[in-house]
Amino acid sequence: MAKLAHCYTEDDGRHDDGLTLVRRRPANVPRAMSRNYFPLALPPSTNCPAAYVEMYKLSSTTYINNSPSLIGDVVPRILSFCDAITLSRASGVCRSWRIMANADELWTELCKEVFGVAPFELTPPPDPTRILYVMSHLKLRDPFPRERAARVETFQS
Amino acid sequence: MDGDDVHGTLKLVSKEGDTFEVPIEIAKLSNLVVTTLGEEDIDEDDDDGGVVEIPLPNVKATVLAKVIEYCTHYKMVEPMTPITLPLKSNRISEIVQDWYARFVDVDQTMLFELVTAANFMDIKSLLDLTCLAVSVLIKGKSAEEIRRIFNIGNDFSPDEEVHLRENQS
Repeated sequence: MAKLAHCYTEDDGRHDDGLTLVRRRPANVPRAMSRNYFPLALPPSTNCPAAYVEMYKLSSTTYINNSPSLIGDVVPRILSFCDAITLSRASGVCRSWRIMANADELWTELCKEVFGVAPFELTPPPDPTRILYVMSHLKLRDPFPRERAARVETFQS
Repeated sequence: MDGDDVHGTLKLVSKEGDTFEVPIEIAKLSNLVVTTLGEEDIDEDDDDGGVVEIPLPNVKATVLAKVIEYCTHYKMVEPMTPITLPLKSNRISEIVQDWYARFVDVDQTMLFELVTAANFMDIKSLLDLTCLAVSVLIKGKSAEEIRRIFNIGNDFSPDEEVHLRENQS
């Protein structure tokens, strides 16, 4: 899987200078449809052109679960803006979301942001990275338990 | 290519067939437009008197009008502050300028259509902004609520469900 958290800076460069990107579009597909990834599953009220729906079906079969919700790079981008609680819940949405929401890249960012520690600073690095977040979180609920125990002892003696 | 392109216009055609004439400089915020213009230059047949038409068969006219409004503001008034991680705040209005925060303060259907359009037209800053707005929308929501928002089915087996619940508690 691509590096999610950085997907819009380090990918094929298409966002900054579209000129570098050359894509072949299949015959009989209109030019404006010649993209390799597909948009969100829209609410039922949104109707799409038939050709588009066809392409959509074709593309989604290559994914894990045929869920029409899966779109190449939009969901990871949405998830990259989410906090830990939302990410944990998002991982219970469906199989494809579980993979996207548990991506190490997302949790690495969160660990750095919230606890100031990145998994590669530890030996051995936690696997998956999400574990590091959960462990750090549990630890911080009761910070420095050993020191506090020691303080209590000194106080009592 | 240079002289004409800078001041010229092109036509963006919505799903319904409505035509929007847009200055090329503004439309070039979309990488789809940039790529298409590049292709046009190569096979330069005098199709229709020089004004390029770009069909956008999955962008509704109402949505396209919003996208053009965004591009115009971005190019003519002020570019949006880039959205970088980690986010500075939980509130969109504290991350980008007020105008942009108000721009994505729309109903959910419109917001999703804007995400789709931004993704399709390959406008990175608009895609960031709309994805940020969607992330605010799902913040704190349960898995079931997220499924409803995105119109996704639950494909976990009962066993997996039990496992998930144990993991999350």
